Amino acid sequence: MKEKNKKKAEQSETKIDVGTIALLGNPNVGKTSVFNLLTGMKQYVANWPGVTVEKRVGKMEKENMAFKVVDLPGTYTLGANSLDEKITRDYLIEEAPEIVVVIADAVNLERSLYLLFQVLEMRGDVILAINSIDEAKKENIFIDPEELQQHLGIPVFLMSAYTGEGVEDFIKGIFKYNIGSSHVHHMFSKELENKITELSSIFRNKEELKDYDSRWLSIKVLEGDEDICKLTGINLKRNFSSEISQLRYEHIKYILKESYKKPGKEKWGMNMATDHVFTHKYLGLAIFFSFMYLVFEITFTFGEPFALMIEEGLGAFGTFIDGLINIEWLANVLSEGIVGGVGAVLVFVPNIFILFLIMGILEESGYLPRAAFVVDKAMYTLKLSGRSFMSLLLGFGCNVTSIMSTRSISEPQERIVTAIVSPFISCSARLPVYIMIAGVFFGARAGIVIFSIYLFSIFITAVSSIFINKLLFKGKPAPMIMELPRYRTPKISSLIQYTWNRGKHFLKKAGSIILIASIVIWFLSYFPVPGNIAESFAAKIGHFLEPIFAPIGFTWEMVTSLIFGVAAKEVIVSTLSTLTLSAQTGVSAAAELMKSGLTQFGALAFLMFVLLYVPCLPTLIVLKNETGKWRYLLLSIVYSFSLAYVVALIISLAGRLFV
Amino acid sequence: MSIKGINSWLWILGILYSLMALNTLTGFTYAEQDIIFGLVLCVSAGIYFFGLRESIEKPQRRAAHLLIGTIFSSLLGLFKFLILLGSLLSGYLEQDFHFSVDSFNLSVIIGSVITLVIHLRIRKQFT
Repeated sequence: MKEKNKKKAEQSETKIDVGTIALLGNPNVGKTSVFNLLTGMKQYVANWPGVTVEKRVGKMEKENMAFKVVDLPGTYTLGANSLDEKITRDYLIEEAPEIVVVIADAVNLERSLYLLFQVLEMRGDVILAINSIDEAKKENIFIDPEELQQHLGIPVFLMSAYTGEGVEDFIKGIFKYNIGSSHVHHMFSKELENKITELSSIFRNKEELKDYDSRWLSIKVLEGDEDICKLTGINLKRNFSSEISQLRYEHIKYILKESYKKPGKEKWGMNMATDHVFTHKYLGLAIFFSFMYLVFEITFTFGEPFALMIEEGLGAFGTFIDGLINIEWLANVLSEGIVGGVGAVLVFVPNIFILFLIMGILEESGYLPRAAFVVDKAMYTLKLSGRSFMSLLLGFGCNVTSIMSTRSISEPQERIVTAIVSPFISCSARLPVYIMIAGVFFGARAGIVIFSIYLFSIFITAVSSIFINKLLFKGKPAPMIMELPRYRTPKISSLIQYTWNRGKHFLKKAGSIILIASIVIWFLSYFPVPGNIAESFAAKIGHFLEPIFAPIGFTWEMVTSLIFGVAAKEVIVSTLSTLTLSAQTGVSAAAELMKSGLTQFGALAFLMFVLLYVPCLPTLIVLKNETGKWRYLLLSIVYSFSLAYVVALIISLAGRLFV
Repeated sequence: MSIKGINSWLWILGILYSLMALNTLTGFTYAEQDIIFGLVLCVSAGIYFFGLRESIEKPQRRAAHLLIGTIFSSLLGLFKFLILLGSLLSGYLEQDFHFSVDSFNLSVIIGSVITLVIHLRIRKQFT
């Protein structure tokens, strides 16, 4: 084995580094799928736009050659209106990759070529890969790659990252490509060409602009691109952007006339029929909420027996360790601190994986963008757009990803508001807390309680976005321009990959931050008087802060768990398990809380507090990085804590009133 | 499927799922009372009834409602089946069965088999 690895390492060292390939294309044309095919990596792919929020890097090797492959965020233009457009454009200018592969959608070639033309205006060494050729065939679309190649003057490949058709030829084509062999320009009208020539001659003489293509700079100045006007110091009175855009489209139409044949009348097929109902004015929202209910009910109920199996297995393992080690404190730290603490979280792995599997089906099938479309109108009244909704949807998995995906929102104000309210969307890390508490306190109704918490999280996100918008800005959101992807049957392999990619994040946390937190919590609960938890450091911390939470009725164990929960929300479960000695007694921590007199209303108040209070540390760090200001971070902490406190207090008071 | 057939199925399934919804909302017979699932069944019935509101001149639109309505109803049956399976597994592991015929809403599971057959028939019209 060692020999084999050594040989492999030697082979890898001898490969000639040919350069970098940048993958570029409109959102949801399958760039990441192509990236995974080229590099053998397993990056997150979904059937909706805006999945790639930052560039990803991989390596493609063949024989003795190796390319670095960079997957750039999807973009319709090379303007710099949104952050992801800016990331893409800056990368092409500053990093100057050896080859740019523009991935186009075979079904919407015209729009894809618009981006290609902008890349061609900027640089040479461009390859066009037309993806989803399988879908095009289904729709009786005919594409002539030779004809296109002749008109565009660059290599053109037809392929399908979904079925694998044409991929081998595409890869061969990349390795055969002769770098530095082409830089093709298409011509504009005579008037515009004169202006381009005039401006180009000015730019060519400027030393500070020598790294840029002077023709591209001229076109951008004529388009009135703010960044380029600033860079060149030239600001024209007249803006030629609409003429340039029109001429690009005219040229594209001319090229496609012979090379691209689409059936005249659009067939009322499965896609249109499905969209007709899923995006229905009245039914659309009702269907969306029905799906949400089914998803959470299944997550809870169907995951329960699997969680039970893990629980029993871990319980037996803890007892085994206890009997194996004679040193009391060591046996205790292993069985109760580590197995009890981490195990309390691991029990919920089946639920998390089931949730991601079903979310994967909804994403892969193309349903989720329809949900965004349906709620777009409602979002607009909240001064957000459906694009924000897409970011918020990612928050059901992890709030960190959700905040990072706000980069594709073009309006800065809307982006900041979405980033601040994102942590209110109930992430998967909170699910173990809900399942543990709701399972014991609400029995057969646990699924409905969890579903209600998720609905409440959407409601609070909506209300908070209005509030924060009013507090910080008075702007209106940009209307959502998002093309709905085609429906497709999810592939089992993609679903497994999707579920694993998202679920492993949870497992990694269990092996890192939750493990460390469990040991710290065990230490704080075991010392200074071993075995006497009421005298422990953890109890002292809890008792010290208990008065603040006394009006809500939280016990010191709950208070301490909330403090540690700021590191990662799952830690709440492990802390409660350690502090209530549930691992010792073999029952759920929630059952122990019930014995201590916590009512259903108290439990609900706790769940709402967990949903709303201060986001976890990684989320706070990303929030600061993405918004760029401390005041937004402070606002998020103060606002979320106050909101959590008020909501929990109202529930608790209602409980006292009715019970 | 002819437009007459589509209309008939929209009526039959709309009424059938409305009755199922009513039964689930009230827990009248062979079903446990479940308000939210009852509302989900109302949505299913709504898909069929909104189909009948589409213009008679545009039969594809009516057919679209039957296409989606039937797959939605089938999913509800699958959902109930998975819930039943989960409960059986939990009961087996805990050696404690709390099982009643009412708990798995038999009519929804039977309904899903019928709707799946209709879905497969109407699907041919779109592919």
